[in-house]
Amino acid sequence: MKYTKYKIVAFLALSTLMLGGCKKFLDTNKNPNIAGNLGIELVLPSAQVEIAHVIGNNFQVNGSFWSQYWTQSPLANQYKQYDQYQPSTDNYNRSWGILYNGALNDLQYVYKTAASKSDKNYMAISRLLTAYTFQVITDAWGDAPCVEAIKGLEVDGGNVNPAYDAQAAIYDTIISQINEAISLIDVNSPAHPGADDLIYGGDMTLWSEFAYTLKLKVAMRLSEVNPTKATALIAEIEADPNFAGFIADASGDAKITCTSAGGSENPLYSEIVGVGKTQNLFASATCVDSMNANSDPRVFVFYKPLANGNVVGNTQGDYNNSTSATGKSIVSYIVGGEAAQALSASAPVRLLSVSESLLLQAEASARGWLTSGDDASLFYSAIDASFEAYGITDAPTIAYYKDSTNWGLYPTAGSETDKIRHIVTQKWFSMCGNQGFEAWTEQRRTGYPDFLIQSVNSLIGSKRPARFVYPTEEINLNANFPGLKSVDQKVWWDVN
Amino acid sequence: MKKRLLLTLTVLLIGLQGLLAQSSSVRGKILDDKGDPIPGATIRVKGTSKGAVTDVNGNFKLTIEDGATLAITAIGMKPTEKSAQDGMSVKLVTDQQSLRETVVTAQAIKREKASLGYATTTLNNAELNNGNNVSALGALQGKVSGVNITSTTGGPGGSTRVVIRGEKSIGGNNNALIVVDGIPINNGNRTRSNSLKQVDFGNRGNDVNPDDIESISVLKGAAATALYGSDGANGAIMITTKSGKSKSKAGKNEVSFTTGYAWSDILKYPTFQNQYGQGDLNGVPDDRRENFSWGLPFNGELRPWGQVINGQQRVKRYEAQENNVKDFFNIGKAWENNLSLSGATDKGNYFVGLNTLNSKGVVPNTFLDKYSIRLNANHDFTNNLYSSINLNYINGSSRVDQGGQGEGSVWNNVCQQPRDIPIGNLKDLNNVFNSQDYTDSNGVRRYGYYGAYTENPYWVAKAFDNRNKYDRLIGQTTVGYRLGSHATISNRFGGEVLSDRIYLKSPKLNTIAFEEDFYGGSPKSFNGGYYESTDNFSSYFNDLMLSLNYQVDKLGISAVIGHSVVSKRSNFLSSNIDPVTNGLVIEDFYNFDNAKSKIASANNLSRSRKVGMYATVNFDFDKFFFLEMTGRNDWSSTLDASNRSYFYPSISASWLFSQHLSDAAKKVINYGKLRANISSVGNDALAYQNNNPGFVSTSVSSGFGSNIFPFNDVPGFTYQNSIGNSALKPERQLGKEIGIELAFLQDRISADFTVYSNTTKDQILSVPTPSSTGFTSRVINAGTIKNTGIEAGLRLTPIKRKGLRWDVFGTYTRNKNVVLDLPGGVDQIVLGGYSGMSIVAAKGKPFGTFYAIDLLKDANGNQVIDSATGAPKSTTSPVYLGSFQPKFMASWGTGLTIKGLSINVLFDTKQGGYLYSRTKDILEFVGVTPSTTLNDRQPFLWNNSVYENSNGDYVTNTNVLTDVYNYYTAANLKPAGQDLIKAGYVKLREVSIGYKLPQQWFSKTFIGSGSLSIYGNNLLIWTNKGNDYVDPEVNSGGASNEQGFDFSARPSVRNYGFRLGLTF
Repeated sequence: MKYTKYKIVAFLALSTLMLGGCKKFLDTNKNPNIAGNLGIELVLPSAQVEIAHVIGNNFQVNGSFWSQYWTQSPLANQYKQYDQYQPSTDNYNRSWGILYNGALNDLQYVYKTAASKSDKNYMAISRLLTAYTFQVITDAWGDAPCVEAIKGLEVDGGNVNPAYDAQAAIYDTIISQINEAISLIDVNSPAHPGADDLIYGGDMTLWSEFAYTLKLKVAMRLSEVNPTKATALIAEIEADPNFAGFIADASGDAKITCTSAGGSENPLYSEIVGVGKTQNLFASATCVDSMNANSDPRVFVFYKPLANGNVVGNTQGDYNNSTSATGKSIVSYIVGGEAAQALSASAPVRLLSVSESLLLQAEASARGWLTSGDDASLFYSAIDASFEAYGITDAPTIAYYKDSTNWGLYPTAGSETDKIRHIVTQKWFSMCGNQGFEAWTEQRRTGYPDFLIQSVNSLIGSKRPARFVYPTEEINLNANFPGLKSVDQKVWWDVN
Repeated sequence: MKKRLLLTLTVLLIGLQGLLAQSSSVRGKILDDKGDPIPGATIRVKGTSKGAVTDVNGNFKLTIEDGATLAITAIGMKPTEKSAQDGMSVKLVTDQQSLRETVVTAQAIKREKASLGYATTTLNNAELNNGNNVSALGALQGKVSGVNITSTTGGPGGSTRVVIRGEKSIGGNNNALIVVDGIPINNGNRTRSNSLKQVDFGNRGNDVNPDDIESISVLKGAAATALYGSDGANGAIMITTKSGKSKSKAGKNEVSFTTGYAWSDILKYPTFQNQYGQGDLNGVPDDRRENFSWGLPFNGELRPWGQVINGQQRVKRYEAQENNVKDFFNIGKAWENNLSLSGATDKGNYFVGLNTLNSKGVVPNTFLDKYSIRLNANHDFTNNLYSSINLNYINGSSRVDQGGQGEGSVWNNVCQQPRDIPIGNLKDLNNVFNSQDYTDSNGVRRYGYYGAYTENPYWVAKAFDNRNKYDRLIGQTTVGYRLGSHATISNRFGGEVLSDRIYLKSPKLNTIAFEEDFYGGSPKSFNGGYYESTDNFSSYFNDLMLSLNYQVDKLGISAVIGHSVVSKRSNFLSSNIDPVTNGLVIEDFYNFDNAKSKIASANNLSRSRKVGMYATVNFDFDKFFFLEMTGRNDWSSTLDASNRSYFYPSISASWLFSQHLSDAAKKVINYGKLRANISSVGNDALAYQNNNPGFVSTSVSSGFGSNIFPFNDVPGFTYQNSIGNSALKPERQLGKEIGIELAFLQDRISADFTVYSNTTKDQILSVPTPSSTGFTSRVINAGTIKNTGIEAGLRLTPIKRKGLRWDVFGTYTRNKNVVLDLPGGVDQIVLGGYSGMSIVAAKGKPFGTFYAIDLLKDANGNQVIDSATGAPKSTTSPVYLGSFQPKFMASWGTGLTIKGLSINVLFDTKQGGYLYSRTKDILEFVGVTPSTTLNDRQPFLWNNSVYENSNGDYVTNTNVLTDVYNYYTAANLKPAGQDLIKAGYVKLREVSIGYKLPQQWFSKTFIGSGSLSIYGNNLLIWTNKGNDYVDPEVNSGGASNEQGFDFSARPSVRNYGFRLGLTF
């Protein structure tokens, strides 16, 4: 019996001992499945692909439908909502998410980490891509979280309901980010990215060209809403002692190269594979007819010719008429849209192109805002660049196009309006299915091309889609969400 | 907290010190009239204040003067007096059977039900296995009030979700804890799903063989499970497996063998229309490629169908194949064998159980095979030492069909067969007209199957191969030592190791149609893929317990002080050759060497540990008033050191008021008990939820397409999407309950009624954040859910005579659940969902409310129609619709025993919940439901509809017609909210007829006894009006929180068979 007492005491002592030793026993909660802070060279490429994934897929398809390059195949139904001009708010969750929690978050990490080491070129690249991303976001959705965005972590302020900034303010932020990048770029520094920069391979001279071209693009977007500011920004570029030129040739083409290797495919094609290689994308008659009417050789590049060699488009939005599918062309593999052609995997994603750069200069020049450069020669160089980018080298074809066709021939003696009309319409042709979002955005800014039709299945009548609708997740999750905007409500710079 | 606990223990010790100092002793054992030991019997030394209480094995030890007389009392037994004698064994005579019921409570402590201050239900093996359900959890259905059980497939291998007293946790698990012989077991889901597919291999709690189970006690409230703390917050299913003792008396060994054979077929098919066949009136009316039944009305004329192959084409009458869907399914078959050996001596006993289950499912090629072996043994050593061991090895292997919307979904492909297609004729895949892969004379690979937009379901069932294999060892060993008269120290160590492998094969195929031109745009093109995952899980539990008991006059005091250690580790490895973003190089070769490009692999190691100290003190005042207090403190590894310690107490009381009644009154009310309790439970976080985000290899996906790093050989990493929270504190649940138990007329009528409420607050939630924060979710403490409800059980025995007994019983449960509070700024948290439909936890709504776009009604409830197109308008944003939780559940059953014959019937019902059915959606889309034949498919005037006139007013619609085809198909006008259906049902859950074979048959054989039964479960169903589609129990979320979601889930089955039992 006496032992009992000791046994009980021993039990308690044992328990207490186990408790005492439990601090270490319980320290098992460090997640072994994730990597800690890591080098920015591993994060920058992620941000670039995240941007390209959105621009090359969701924005590409949506933009190309609303630019009337593409229309829904009557034999399938994936993209009817675009031809109805009534996209669902669910449709934009992914793009919004990838841009914010993917690209912008990763770019912020690159910038902050680079800044802590004064790694100026990485800082500059992350700033430029941040500016690019914010412009894409605000051009698509108008007002959006910017100043308070990407502050979810405690160390960044722990703001889980970022307020919306007016689009004008976002443009100011973009401009200051580009200016900061310009001041940071050091072309002579040996510290710059290498293969981890999927766009330019670390060539800081090209990044400098990118920076000024992006600034020009930003300035030109303000042409209608605030021409004074646009002019001033362009003047600022020309007065900048560091300014050594805009993107001028194919090496400056800001693009992500895609390959057939799994995971590295063109994102649009990857999506097509994901839906069982269904051919949803048909050629739209709006673009095909005007290319055909102008003997534009690009019609055979951006679309897949029929067996008889012709390219025939379907009326925009005529997807309910299944008999109309017969004898119509589909989108080509060159732009990643041909489901049955594996080469679609290799279509690059263009973020800012040479021809775009040249046409931006041509327009600025035609308006008299850019003093260096000649609008007509910039216009023709842009056509050359566009043809070159898609392997069109046949001199007589090119010459004929430039000399004899309505849209290929620059109205040197024409009015400023007519010049702008030609420049922007030419931009529209050059961006067919490869920069669909930018083409639609420029159409919203300028109204060119002026021959887009009303989609047969438009659910908003003769009104044009003027924005993306906000994604469901913002509506549901952000306490500072300012309210829905319908698809026909124009963004701030869209004043015509 | 630690200090407080130690202080309590010290006080207890000091109090006991004086009592333990004695000199001579008597040992004894108290048994009931069957010879089974009675734990908790009180032995008092007459004329003194001394006494003792028997332990789990009925043993007691007392120190007394010579010649003393012992007064022995036990609940439900007639009191006895005996003179003390060392080694005495006393048999008590049963007085009140209803009071004798014992319950296995937390930490496997056996207690008399009458003394408990909380609601419990105990089922013995026979009650559990009436319907011969191969799932022990499924077998509880309809038998326990307060418990919501959902069996997804109805047949072998499906998931069974058990939720006790309502959904309590938004972010965590709501399933009850499953405890086998004192060891909590892993009840993880074996489901695999993504936006395209869903594969359900069931949940792990179903691995225990029902035939090995001696009894199941369901502990419903937090008070009952407080000693399991965090893990017991959702209630507990306490499974006690058989021991040799229960089967046979000391010295007698027994061999028993049962064999059963069962068939299964589909319980409920959708209702189909039989008026229109294959085609698309808006396209090609008699389109041979179509999955649409939007073609011409049937006319019975001969018509060619399918492709023209080598100039030949099949011909059939253009008429409805009314049973074509039924024809697809096989009759499932299951053969189950149980062999057990058991024996006992006065010192020990053993039980060995062997079980085999071999079954073939209703979908071709599916099967489930399970083998298990169990060894249970107990031994009492002479020197106050006793021990027991339980070991259970289970090996399972299954192949199941895939659900969902992808090409690998069998049911999705069956649903899309036009009404005139004889599905049964598609079975022979070697027949060129049925083939998905046929090499023609020129060496070109083609398909001859008619459908351009569907796959041959027989091919799908063959080519998409989804398998699960597991090996599992569960065991425990207990060693106890009796320390004198008043104390026992025991240690239980147990746990399990589990290796669970899942293999998903999806075929690579590239074939074109024979009729290339006509079928041109529709090749059969699949990249092929292979997924394999291994979950190596292990858990260890150690419980060290000191039990004390003391009897002072009429006051009994007993206490348990314990220390527990839990350690769990899961090493989950998965590799995936994704059929969408990657693919196989070579066909029919499922190996990771055979990937076109980088394989997505993940290793996920998760560890969690917990240390706890607990104490419980019970006061028993003269066997009529009982008071129990428990306290537990846990220290969890998943919380930061500063927050990892948490304490929770409970108090419960029970008053056996019938003890005060006069003998005359006792004849009417022979048992009456009031009980009440209040309790608190804490809960910790999941592993790593308090960690800061790190980086993971980048994979960007926009739904169907993705870009994965290394991208062109450049590696890339991206921020994780979730923000951890280092300040996490434990969640808290507060439960209250009050109840009454009554029995009348010598147990002819018995009733049990409980009112309860439980509130869970500070829930640890991973809540979504807007992506504009840079992250998609963060972990926080927030959110409150409240459940209030009543549960009732009633049993009547109208006839009770020798050789004849008739029982009628029923249960009723009503639970009201509401999400009271969510974190600031968040209106709702998404639990799951599908295109256009979310299942959410929203403030002010029940957990699991559907949130979807629905048809737009005006203020008077009239449908708003577009005046131009006739299209019904939909709401512009999602609206809250019903919840998946039933408003009430009930069951009623009857049992009749006439000599050797027994008949049991059980019905159960759930009413008031909702279900989202993609089966309905796809059936309507392809035009095979009666709803799609509305107005003979001519434009119709929508009942009670309005449209907006130019003034913006709604005016009654008398002339604008709506197009049926546009509504269901062409324009996709039907909003997701219209695919919600009422999930109420009444089921004939179980029927069994058992016959004890006449003893004389065996008198000259080595066979001891025999029994034969025929049984069925999930036999018949009646659903709510409007549900012409599915058994509402099917669920694609398995046992997860995503419930009420039919993602083209294969219909559930009914099972029926016979069973022969022999003992030797």
